[in-house]
Amino acid sequence: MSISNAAATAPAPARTGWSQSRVWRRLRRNPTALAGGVIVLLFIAIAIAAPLLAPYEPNVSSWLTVRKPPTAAHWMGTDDVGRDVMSRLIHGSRASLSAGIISVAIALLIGVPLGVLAGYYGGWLDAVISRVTEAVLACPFLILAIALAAFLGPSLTNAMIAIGISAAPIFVRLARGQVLSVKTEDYVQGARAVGCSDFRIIRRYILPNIFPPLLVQSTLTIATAIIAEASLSFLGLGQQPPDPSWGSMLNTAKNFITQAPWMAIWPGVAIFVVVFGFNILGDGLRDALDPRDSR
Amino acid sequence: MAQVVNIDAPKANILEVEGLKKHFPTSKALIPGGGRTVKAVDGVSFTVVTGETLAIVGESGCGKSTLARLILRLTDLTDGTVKFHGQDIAKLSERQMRPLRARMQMIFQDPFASLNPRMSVAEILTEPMIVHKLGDRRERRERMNELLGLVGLSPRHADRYPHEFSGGQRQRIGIARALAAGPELVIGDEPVSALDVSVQAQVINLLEDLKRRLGLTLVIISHDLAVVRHMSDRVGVMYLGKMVELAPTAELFASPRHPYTRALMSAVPLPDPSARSNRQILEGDVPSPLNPPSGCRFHTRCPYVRERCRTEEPLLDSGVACHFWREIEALPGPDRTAKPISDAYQRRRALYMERRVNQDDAVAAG
Repeated sequence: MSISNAAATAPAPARTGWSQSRVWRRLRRNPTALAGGVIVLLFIAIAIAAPLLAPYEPNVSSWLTVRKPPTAAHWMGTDDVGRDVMSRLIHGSRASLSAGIISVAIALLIGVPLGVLAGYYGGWLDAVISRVTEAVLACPFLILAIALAAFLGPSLTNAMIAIGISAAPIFVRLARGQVLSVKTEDYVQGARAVGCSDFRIIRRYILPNIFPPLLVQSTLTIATAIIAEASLSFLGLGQQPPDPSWGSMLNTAKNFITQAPWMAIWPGVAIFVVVFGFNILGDGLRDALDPRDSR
Repeated sequence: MAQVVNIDAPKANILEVEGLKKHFPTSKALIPGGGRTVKAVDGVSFTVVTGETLAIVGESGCGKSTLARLILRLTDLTDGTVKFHGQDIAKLSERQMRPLRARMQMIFQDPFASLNPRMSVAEILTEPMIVHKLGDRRERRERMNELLGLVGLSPRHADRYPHEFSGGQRQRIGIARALAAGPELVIGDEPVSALDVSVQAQVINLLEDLKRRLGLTLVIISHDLAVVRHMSDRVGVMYLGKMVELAPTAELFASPRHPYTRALMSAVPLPDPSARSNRQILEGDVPSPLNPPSGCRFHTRCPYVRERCRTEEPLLDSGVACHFWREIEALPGPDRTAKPISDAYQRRRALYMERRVNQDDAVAAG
């Protein structure tokens, strides 16, 4: 009796929701996913601390250091107008990461509400949303992003909007499918029986339960969006000179690929590593969030 | 927040269901009405008296769960009326329906599917009170603790999540949620069939206890005749979307009148090997509700079938929907009056009960 009393009065451990703690436990046991998380966090840290980390001003050119190979002074060499490649790479991470994250945020903001509406209400609303989504999906992702970016005009912000709109259909379809399966669950019926409004059911019952697959898809789409931003910048539709981005660095580097290969190698490696990081983090999250696999 | 139980009121009908139909279209038709439909519930009428427990039984696929969902307007009905306290709720909009939902609640079959995995017990139980704007935060918390106590859980369970509970405990949470807004009518859709037999008994006892204490009216959907016999005042038997018999429990079990009910009763296992001879086995399967038989829906499997049954549909009259129930009743049915129990059997049974009690105690203690 005294034991159970003590247990009852002992302060309960702070619970931050079972899903987070369980997911974290399972993620911790997955070294690949952890490596992905570390890579992503590292790049985010670099992007935030860019002015502190960069050894030189990214946009200051110098005729004395045109296309110098890596030296002790310039670890990654210099570019065609004598700017430090490493400093530009560090500052360029801001454009790439923010393009990845913001464009996916835009895609989520457009895609999830539409998908939830289509899945929850069905009928003609679903038919309209689904058909439009399919029409947009019929265009290849990058082609659509290029067309939209060209239409909106070349700037980093417009590139993000273009990528976000192009990526939205993936989220419409995913959210719609998830809602269709969640809304037949007894607990949603129970919420209706209790008298919850549609808005409340969507907010409290549907959204929390469709969140895990959306999170996984988001990390994977961030990787795609970073490549898309690099592609748009490569084509001159993204980050505008002289501000650096990995894609625009590659764009200039392509003219000097034989004389100054270091100009192309480092942004290429950076894109590869950060995309790889987001991909393995996404895969790990998918495994950790899958309730069927109860390791 | 006390339960309002009006003791002075005469025993009125809390629920009147008339000609209730639910047809599910299976394929899209080019011409309206041209598609094929599943007649899940096809013209069911009955009333529920305030304070009673009505059981609806039938094999799987006979439409009993659909019936429960129709009464609560979780599914839109095709035709018919559902009167709650005399008010027809069949045509109310979702918005008009909402205030009534506090007064009629549902307990679901699967305790693993009926609770939102992302809400704590406290959130699940206060949800109905928030939705119906009952009490302030402190009062809701008090009421929640009271509810947890009512269903045999403790307030320290409040901050846990559904996956941390066993099936029986989850079903208790489901019951507490159903009670949270103070309903008068509770519909249980197979409330215990997903549970372990020993836990079934606990939950059934809990339901009966709550019914008595809170003055609830229960409608229990079940396929388990033992549960039904134990709990209910009246029983409705469904077959293929129709109610074939509706009678007080004792009467139905003592002298089932409809041939289907007779077959159903004879399928109940008896704990007496010598009484197992009279089992009446039905031939064939339940016909598809997509294309139900003409006339009496049971005629394809009825051992007493006649020509009239194939053409003319019997109506539910004096509690049974069969043209020839009077004649069939006279025939020797499954013999449910047990033979005199032998002394040896009585001794063995007493011994078994004693052991069983000891075992239950041991389980309860451990």
